[in-house]
Amino acid sequence: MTALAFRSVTRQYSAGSSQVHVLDQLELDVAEGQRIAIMGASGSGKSTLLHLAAGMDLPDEGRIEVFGTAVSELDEPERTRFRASRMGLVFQDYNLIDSLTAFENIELALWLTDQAVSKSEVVALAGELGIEPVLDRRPGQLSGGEQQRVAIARALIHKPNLILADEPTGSLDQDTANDVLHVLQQSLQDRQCAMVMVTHSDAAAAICDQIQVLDHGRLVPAA
Amino acid sequence: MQARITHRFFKRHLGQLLLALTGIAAGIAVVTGVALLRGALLESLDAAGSVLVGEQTISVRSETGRVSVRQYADLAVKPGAPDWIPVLRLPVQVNGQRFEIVAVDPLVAGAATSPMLGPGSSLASTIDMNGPASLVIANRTLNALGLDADDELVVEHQGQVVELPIAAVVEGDRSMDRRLLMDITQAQALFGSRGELSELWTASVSSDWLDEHLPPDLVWQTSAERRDSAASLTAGMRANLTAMSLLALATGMFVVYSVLNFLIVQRRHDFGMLRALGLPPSGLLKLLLSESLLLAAFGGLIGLVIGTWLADQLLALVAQPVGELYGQLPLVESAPSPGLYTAIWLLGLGAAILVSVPLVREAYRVPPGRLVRSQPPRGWTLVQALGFGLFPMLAGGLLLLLSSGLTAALAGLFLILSGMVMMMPAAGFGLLAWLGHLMPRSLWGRSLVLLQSSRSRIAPALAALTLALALAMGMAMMILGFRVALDDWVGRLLQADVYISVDRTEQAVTPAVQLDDQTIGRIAAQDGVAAWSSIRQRRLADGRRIAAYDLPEQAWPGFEWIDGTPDRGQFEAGLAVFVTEPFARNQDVAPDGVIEIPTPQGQKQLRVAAVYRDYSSDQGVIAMNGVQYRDWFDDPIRDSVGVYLQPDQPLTAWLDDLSEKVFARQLSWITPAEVRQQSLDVFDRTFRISWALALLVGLIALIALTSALLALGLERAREYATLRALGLSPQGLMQLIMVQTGGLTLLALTLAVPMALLMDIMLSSSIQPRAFGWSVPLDWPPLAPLVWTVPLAVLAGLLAGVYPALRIVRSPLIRNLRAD
Ligand SMILES: Nc1ncnc2c1ncn2[C@@H]1O[C@H](COP(=O)(O)OP(=O)(O)O)[C@@H](O)[C@H]1O
Ligand SMILES: [Mg+2]
Repeated sequence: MTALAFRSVTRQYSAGSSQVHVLDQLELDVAEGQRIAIMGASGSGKSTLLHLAAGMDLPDEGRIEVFGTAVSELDEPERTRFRASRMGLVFQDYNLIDSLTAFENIELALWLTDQAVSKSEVVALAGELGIEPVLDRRPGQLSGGEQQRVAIARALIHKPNLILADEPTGSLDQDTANDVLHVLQQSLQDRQCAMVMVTHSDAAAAICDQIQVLDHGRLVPAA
Repeated sequence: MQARITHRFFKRHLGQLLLALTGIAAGIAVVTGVALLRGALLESLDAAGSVLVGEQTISVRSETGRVSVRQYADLAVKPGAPDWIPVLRLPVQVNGQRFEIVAVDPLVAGAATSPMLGPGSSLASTIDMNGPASLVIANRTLNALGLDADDELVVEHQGQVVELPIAAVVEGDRSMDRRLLMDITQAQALFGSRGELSELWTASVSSDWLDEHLPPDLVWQTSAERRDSAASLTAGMRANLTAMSLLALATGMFVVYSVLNFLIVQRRHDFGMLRALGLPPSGLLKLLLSESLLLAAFGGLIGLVIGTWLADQLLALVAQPVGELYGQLPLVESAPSPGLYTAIWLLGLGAAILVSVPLVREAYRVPPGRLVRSQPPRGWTLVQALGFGLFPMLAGGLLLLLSSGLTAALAGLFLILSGMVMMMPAAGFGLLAWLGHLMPRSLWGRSLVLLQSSRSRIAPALAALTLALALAMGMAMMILGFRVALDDWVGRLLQADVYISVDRTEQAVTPAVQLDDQTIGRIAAQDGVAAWSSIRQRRLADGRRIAAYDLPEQAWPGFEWIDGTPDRGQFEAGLAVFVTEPFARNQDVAPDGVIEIPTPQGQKQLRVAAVYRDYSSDQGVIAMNGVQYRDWFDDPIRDSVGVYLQPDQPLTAWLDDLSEKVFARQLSWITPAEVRQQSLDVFDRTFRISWALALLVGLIALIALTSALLALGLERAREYATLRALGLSPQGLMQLIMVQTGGLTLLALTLAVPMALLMDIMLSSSIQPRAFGWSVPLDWPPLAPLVWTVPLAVLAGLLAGVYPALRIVRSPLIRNLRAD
């Protein structure tokens, strides 16, 4: 079964009087467990693509299926539940909740998917990601790399089948980025989890099975 | 550059700009409104006590309010008699408002009245005694009536309506407000009060002469004394007004502070970024100051306008009671002065400067990177807050306990309140966090824990809100508690079945019946009378008041003793007196102390046996035995007789019997129920002023609550969007926001209720006794203010939560998710 499929997906924004086609009849297939990197110039529509995949935005035309379910045919609460249970989201600027500790931020994903919280599971995952020692700190007291690893843990803890990551190493230095990529790759492999990762970095793209470039609203395989 | 940053932010957050302006305007409006209200009321109290004629002018009056022409003639022919100016004062209605006609003889009253007329006017040249009746009116009064000098005034006196032309418009001083001058002969002819005078004025007579020649039912006072006694009559009211205005001032400024603080702390990250990009600390100072000052300046201007409008609305509500309580109804209007406006406006700007200080100080000390990454200071921990708050509270408590003055007590009240305000945010958020951790896995618990991240932003708003709520509820509780106390007191005091006095409205035409031993004998001889009591009140030359009582067995339970031992034997033997609580406090006498009373038989000394509760006069009263009084003062008259009927005697039948047999239609009577109703009416009218203040503060609390919660909801848009992206359903988010706003509202209420109770206790047991002389017995606090405030605040809190919740739930997820 395909994890994610875009069929002739068009998304346009109106800029003044004219329409800008950010995604234009876009096609995409991601198999279960497959990791795809999406590259492309800034403003080419990469984030738009991820938002559509996550069901946080709806296409103007075309059809998006996640594990065989047409996301746009669900109503909002169903879509939310679907997203929460099947997908994990990693944002470029982390989007951690300031008032919660790292542990609580991770736990949040379990809570929101109505899963029992197992402390040992959170600690184990944190151990894998190398953030166990900082679990009781708040985001303000963490380095960028630590924050991003907390965000990754939050995206993985509820065992999703599809990770959508938007420039996960965009705000990290080279060494930290490599660390984060390494644990991400490890975790995905262990879990048979598919991923669509938007990135500008070749190092990041290298942990993926396939690299596609978004250009003029369509995806083309990287040369 | 700085201007552009500010401009951008508010352009993108128009809602926040509007909320900030609303909050600031509300804060300034309450300060302005209360200041104007206080100013106008104080001025009207001054006017009510203002003297008509020069300071040393002596006026001779009767306790009944009427001096007969016969008494005037007697006094005029006494050896060494001065030139008397006979005066007739008539309460009248013009345009439905209370006015007073002051009628004098222009020829003899010329010199005495020239100060009140103003420069260049003399009575003799303005009133034509031989022409048709006409009036002299002051310019201000004429303007207030909206009339011209050639209009006629429609004047109503006891149902009789007369149209009078205006003889002259004079400049006039405050004593001419709502007063009309006219010729005494014309007034007597017009209003059918021939042979009747209100008082006699004279400028040239010694007090010895007066003491020797004045009959016992006439009293004299200089204008200055009269003004002073009017001033002391209103002293309590003045002190209360001032205290309330100060509290409102503090609350209003706090609201302004919290609104501005919210804006700054919220953008802490942005400011850190700007610093990192090279904005020097001085540049940040400039940015913050110009932004806060601009907001405070604009919001302040709006607040000044709204406050002025509010003051005028509230004044219309309270002008009547002030006039009825303190006599002449003065011209009450708010008198906004540029000075007052400027002062309040500057206070608002001061709050703006104060608000910028912490962040700018931090910017000077902390490198920009740390500023970006660090959380705003979370304020004091619970222990710190309790420690810091306890100090002013203890100081305030000591001040209240150790001092006896009103000013010190008000300062103590202030200190205690500030201590509570200092403790509030830490205590409140501590409580929320604790509650949140009690139910860690539920949406409720999560919502409360999530709220902690807004702590530094909403802490001042929470404190301001709590203070305003507590103030409004505390004042309302005090008023209602006092009302209950008054009701109890009147109910206990009036033990008789009916109180009889001489009907003064009939007295003008019939030869007066006197309530003397003979009349009382005839009343007591009626069938069905079990016992009777009597009271005679007299004001001594030094202003102290005596109440002389004849008390049967049944009347004694009417006293509530506060101090000393009420020795009946000593009282009835004329060896001891009782004094009221305000008297004991004002004159500083205690049981077993001795007071001196000047009597026609010389100075008499009396032992004070006990102190009893009384709310009839904040000057205080000496209660003495009637027999002793009649002996010393040679005054056989009583003001009122209380009749105790036999148990099987119906009141109406007895009264019918009385009016048939005894002095038909020359006596009037009133039942205890009617007296009680009248007292409560007077009370309600008096305290309309305090109600108005409480209402104003409560209103501001609601506005502050709404704007704080709205701002909170708008500011947390990104956090909410993240939760949505991670899988929180729209309904779940709705719930979460409602729990948060509801939680904050309930928290504010939870903190405000004990504070309101404490305020009620302090106002009732410390401020009231010092301002008025009487205490209010501590009882269960009235809960009506809570019953009103709590649902209203919860409703406002929920509504304020629904708007941002709907906005966030409906708006596209992506928009709020992107960092801004
Ligand atoms: N809400 C919006 N309204 C109008 N244009 C938008 C909106 N969101 C994104 N865009 C435009 O769509 C294009 C793609 O944006 P985005 O998907 O964020 O690009 P990328 O992530 O590849 O940098 C950009 O040109 C951007 O300006
Ligand atoms: Mg992007």
